[in-house]
Amino acid sequence: MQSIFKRTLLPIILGLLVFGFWISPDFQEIAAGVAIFLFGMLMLEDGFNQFSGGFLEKLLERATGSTFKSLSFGVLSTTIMQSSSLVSVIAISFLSAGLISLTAGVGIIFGANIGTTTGAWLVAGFGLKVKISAYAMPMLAISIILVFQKSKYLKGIGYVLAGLGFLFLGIHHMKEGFEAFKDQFDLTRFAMTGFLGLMVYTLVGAAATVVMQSSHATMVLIITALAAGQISYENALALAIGANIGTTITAIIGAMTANFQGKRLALAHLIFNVTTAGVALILISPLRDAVDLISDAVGIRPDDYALKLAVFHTIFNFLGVVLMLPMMQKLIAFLIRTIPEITPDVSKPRYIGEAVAGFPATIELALRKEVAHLHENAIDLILQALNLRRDALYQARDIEAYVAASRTNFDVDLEAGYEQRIKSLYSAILEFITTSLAGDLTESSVQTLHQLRRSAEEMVRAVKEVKHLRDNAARFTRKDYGEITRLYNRIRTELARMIVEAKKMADADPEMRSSLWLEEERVRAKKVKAELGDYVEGLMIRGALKGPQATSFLNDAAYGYRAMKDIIDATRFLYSEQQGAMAEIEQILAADEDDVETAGASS
Amino acid sequence: MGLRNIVKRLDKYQQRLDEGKAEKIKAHHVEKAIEKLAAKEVELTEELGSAEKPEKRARLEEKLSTIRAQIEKARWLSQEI
Repeated sequence: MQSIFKRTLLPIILGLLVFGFWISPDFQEIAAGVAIFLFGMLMLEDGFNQFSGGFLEKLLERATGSTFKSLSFGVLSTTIMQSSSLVSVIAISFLSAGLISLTAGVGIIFGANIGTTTGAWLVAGFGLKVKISAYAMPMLAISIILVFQKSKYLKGIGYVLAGLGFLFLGIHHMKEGFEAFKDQFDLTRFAMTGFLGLMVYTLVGAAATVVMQSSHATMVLIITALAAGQISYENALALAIGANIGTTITAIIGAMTANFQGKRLALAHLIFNVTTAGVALILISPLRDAVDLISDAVGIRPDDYALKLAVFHTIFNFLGVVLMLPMMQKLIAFLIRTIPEITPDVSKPRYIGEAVAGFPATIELALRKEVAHLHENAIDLILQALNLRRDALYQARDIEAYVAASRTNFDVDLEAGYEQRIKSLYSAILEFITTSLAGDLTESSVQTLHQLRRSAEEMVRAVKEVKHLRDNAARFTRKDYGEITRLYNRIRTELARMIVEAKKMADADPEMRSSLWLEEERVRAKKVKAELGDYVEGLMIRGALKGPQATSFLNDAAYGYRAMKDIIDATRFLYSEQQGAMAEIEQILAADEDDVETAGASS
Repeated sequence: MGLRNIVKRLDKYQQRLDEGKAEKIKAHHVEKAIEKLAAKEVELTEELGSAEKPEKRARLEEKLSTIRAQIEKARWLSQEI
């Protein structure tokens, strides 16, 4: 059913457009105006994406402190970006990536509904009063010069300027189109009064917004049509209410691929907008009176319906926030009840997915979290393979003594564990990286993604190395077999120490953490390998270790060394500075493989 | 780990900087890197203070010495840039 709808919708829309073009050339100008307006919004989005890795995402990440902050952020970002849908989708993306709380997300959505009212003011107050195309032309001419600049920030400013230019140009063409259109057709013939009119035009407003995926575009269309006298004021009010319902479709589509948190936020958006629309419909008469009162007070002419519609749009969105804000905690409790958190499946990705794929900063942050998730799974499996308990190890004051005392063999199927907890997650990470790299990323983002891929790769390799030595390590440490037990315990101890260092890095304050903290561990892994080789040689000379057992141990020691190195490198790649001057410093100060080799051999 | 390889890495950085492929390191960046290393130095010193086993003390002393060497190198870098 859904696929039939999807398949037929596009031909229907195209057919209606062609029919419209055929019966009226002015309709072409209106449709082109809408298209230019939407194109302007896309350019604005592209422009803001150029600032990714900084501006918007960092602001959004910080807008979690309080409800007021997140609300203000919603207002501000929507005012700047002129798209509440885009802000909602970004909020869903950040919530899915675990970067903001649900409360902050709901606050942003509330704020976005206030921010979106600035669009109506822009068009009604400015777009219709002045020759807006006079501003659009120079903006477009300047923007194209900036777009061709090398600096991504200048390029970003160019796209934003071009976006605004196209928005203005789109408004101009819609205005012109409606002005000419009214000489041929009188759309007011279709005006409806009373409850039926309210309902029908609310539905039309919602449907138009669903098709255009932008309440802004719908509002511009309504205001320009209203200014040209093509729709009645009453019907325009209903259309504006409908636009507020229709705009939730973008967030709903965005949440389809999001996790439970993203879905909760999309539901919050729907509840907020439908409730606000419901209240506005019920209170339509008192709201109209309030609009007249405010308009008189601020000096808006009684027949300036475009500005009055902007006042109405603002009042009813504010009313929605005022009504819903005291119920915010109840709303959040309802969302949590309605869309419960699925018990996290460790084998499934928690942070990466299509919902976070649209924005470079979300891609990096979500991927970093997902790789950390893979690390957690890998460390768990490695510790099980070594017959060590994670919590006990992290609490142990004497790691060597704890390892020596851990003799019980864990009943663990490493192969199955690898398939379930490592391989599937690793595949998802690789797939996400490949898809993301195919998109439009900055050079530094590409580097970060490569580094995170290496981190995942090294940790997966560590698991494989440990799998090789598991059987012998378990067999010879079950009870005290003398030297061979001490040797295997040494490998287990050194691996456990590396894991504890990796844990310290994970727990450290991200602002104070440095991958240079692990330099000693890199050298230490090398030293351990050399020391064990020398020690085994001594044992063989003394006859304390037989040839086959010694060879077998040296093979396992090599696996152990590689696993240590992989764990440390995986941790370094995950937590090292990946962009900018701090990354350059770490690269200069960190030892390269030659340095490590020399230091390991000389000690 | 002497300074020889660091000098090579610094030269490479300078080259990439000239080509516009690297971000310029400023004094406050190096200060931040030193601050991070110094925080680890404090942590290790405290750990050493409470460590009793000679092997553990030896390990911590080695770690401390590596961190101090890193701080020295960072100071040298600060002069170079």
